[in-house]
Amino acid sequence: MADKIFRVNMTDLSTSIEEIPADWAGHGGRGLTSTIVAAEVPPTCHPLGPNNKFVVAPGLLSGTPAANSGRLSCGAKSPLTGTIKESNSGGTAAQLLAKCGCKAIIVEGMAKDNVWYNLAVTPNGVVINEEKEVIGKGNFEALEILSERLGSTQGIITIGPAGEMKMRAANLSVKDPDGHLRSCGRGGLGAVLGSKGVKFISIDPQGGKVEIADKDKFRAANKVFAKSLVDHPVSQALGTYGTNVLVNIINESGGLPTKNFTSGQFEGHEQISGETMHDLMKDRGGKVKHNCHKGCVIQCSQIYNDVNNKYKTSGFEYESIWALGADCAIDDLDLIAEADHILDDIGIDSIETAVAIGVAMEAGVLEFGDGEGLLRLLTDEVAKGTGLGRIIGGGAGDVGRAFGVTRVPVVKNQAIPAYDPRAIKGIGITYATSTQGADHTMGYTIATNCLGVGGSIDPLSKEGQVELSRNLQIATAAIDSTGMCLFIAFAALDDETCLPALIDLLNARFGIGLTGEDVTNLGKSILKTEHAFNQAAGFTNADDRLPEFFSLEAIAPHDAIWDFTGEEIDTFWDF
Amino acid sequence: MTNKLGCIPQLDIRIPVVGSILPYTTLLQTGILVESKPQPTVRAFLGSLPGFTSQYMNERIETIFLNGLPVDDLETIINGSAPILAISAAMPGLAGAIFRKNGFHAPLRTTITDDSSDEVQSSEQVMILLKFFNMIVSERGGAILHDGCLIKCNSVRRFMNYRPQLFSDVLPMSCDNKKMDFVEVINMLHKSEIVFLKIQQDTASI
Repeated sequence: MADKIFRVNMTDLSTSIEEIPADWAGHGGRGLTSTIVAAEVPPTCHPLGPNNKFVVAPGLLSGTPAANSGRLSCGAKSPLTGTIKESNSGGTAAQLLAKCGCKAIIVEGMAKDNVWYNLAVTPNGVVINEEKEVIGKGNFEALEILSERLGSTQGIITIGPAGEMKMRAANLSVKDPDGHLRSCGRGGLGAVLGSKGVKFISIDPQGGKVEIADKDKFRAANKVFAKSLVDHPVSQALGTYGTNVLVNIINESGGLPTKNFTSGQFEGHEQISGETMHDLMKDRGGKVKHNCHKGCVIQCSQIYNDVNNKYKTSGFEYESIWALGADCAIDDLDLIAEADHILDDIGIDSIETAVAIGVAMEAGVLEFGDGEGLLRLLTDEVAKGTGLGRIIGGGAGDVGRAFGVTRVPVVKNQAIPAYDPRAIKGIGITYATSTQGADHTMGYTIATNCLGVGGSIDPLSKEGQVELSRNLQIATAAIDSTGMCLFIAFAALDDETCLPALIDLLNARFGIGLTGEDVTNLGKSILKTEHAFNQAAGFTNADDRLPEFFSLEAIAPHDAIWDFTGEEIDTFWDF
Repeated sequence: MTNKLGCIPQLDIRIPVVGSILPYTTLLQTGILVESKPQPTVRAFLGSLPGFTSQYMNERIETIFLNGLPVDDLETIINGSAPILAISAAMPGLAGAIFRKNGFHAPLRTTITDDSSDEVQSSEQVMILLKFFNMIVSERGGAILHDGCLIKCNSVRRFMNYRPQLFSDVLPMSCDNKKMDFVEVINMLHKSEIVFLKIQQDTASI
């Protein structure tokens, strides 16, 4: 089955199946969503208007047996940042979409008369159905209803009440293999799908399979690739403690933003650490290891149960725990898990919303450390869409503007996640220059030297640091196109068999002859495409900056400040 | 027990033989106090602890922080009057890679001056606060607790209050050979700053 583009027009409720334009054929995942958005969305359009388009794409290897290849990319012009946006997630949707022979879904236009719809995707294309039953429902109830209606094996991409209310921090929820959910968290893409009048997309591959050009080569490459992942020590830590293993060490470095970025260390860090979380999960019959999609061999996810040993949340990540914990000065992991559950149910980004609440705490809306108050804010204000709730649901930037707070940790209006750029400068460069607003996953720990983008300048100079960050972002953009989880990066950094095996997988899947240089060029092309879109939308180098307070306020314990000049940062785009 | 810190109470906890010491090892993430000769190297200091072989230190300990600063070399001297050393196995993320010892991404660290070497170094024994993170906690924590360690009472008290169920099934705890229940132990921990803690499986109950 040759892959196709499935197009949906919500204005006239029409659908079509299209051949893939030659320029798009080599893309998948982020590369494809960004290429389509750049090609078809007017950069200056309103993100919640009819001219924006919502694009979903599985990765190049999604739907195959390749280990860790089940990431789903969603893209659009972001209502939060105003930039191009890609947000990706685990769950079952990417693999099922690929098995439908769907290279990408493009949702355009806007439904009329406040009528809500769902989109049913099969190998035969997309059917648009009017939807009433799950409108207004929280995500968990909606998923239960839909599992009953559609069966448990169909993939679901849905928005929660936040997306229906078009909050700028609204996310997309993607059903995972257990019937719970994962999130395309960042950038407000839930609001974009909501603006189209689409509540959810269901995916039924009806037995479809992904074709592999050379099965023997693919099998051999996958064996090498999976082994490199399983054997790596970071994979062991992730499978034991999850990403939350970072709390203690980032705290030790003085880079754990605390109380809305006023300190780099949190007194209660050990009560919210990955080590503590591991023990609580074991005590309560949760799962320490868990996969967010079939074929994941790292299994960094987990199932966190409450004190009564009942499911509370899964995929309980460091960045969410940091944001709800240290940034709001809350040291109760159960309370943080409850908040995470509510955020998942509302369908809103747990980083953006929690950072927004940290800013609100500074404004005096709540006391720092008031966990019960935080839960009340989420359930009584955000979930119900009150005035205050909509300000918080608009993200940290909106809260800062509404309450006159100057310490607002955002870049391009997207909240800075869990690593203080004053204490960890390399991440600050990524925050400043990312095409997507502040995002720690945009410049990951990729073996840039293996991809032929190793640094050529003294890495200890600022120029060298910018160059290294650029190379990380180029390599990350390429990996994001494959459908691979970014956590393959650790093995890719250390195991010389890993990246070649990944390239072999791509070649065996499509019967082509990619080289490392081709992959690097793909990454460069994606970054340039995204940057060009942002420039056409009105962004300039002046937007590639960290907030002023990072240069004015030293952060304890090291009294570090952000000291990159604009000129130094601007060299990022010299390629 | 008496040392340079004065008279320190000794808390003994005996867990049933069917139990596991692993859930208690998380206590060590807040750190234990280890007495050392002044200015040891990281390698020499860790090498004095149970299970810290050269191979383990070279291969398993991927991230080291000394006084809040990343360390690349096990031969680094531990300076300062009250040094804090934190050790971890491999860490995820770009931040994990940046802080990894001798890592490719180390140039992306913030440059921070270490002024601990400027302090007047004592010729007497120093107390080093040693924190265990990540896999090191479970892999080496059991032996440390079994042999006994100095630990801040505040850390033990917070741990007991946060996870009281871990102490509900233990055999009676004792402090300086005097049996105590949970509340008495908590009260005792309020009165002292540091305790010598031993957690062992109760082989006598077999």
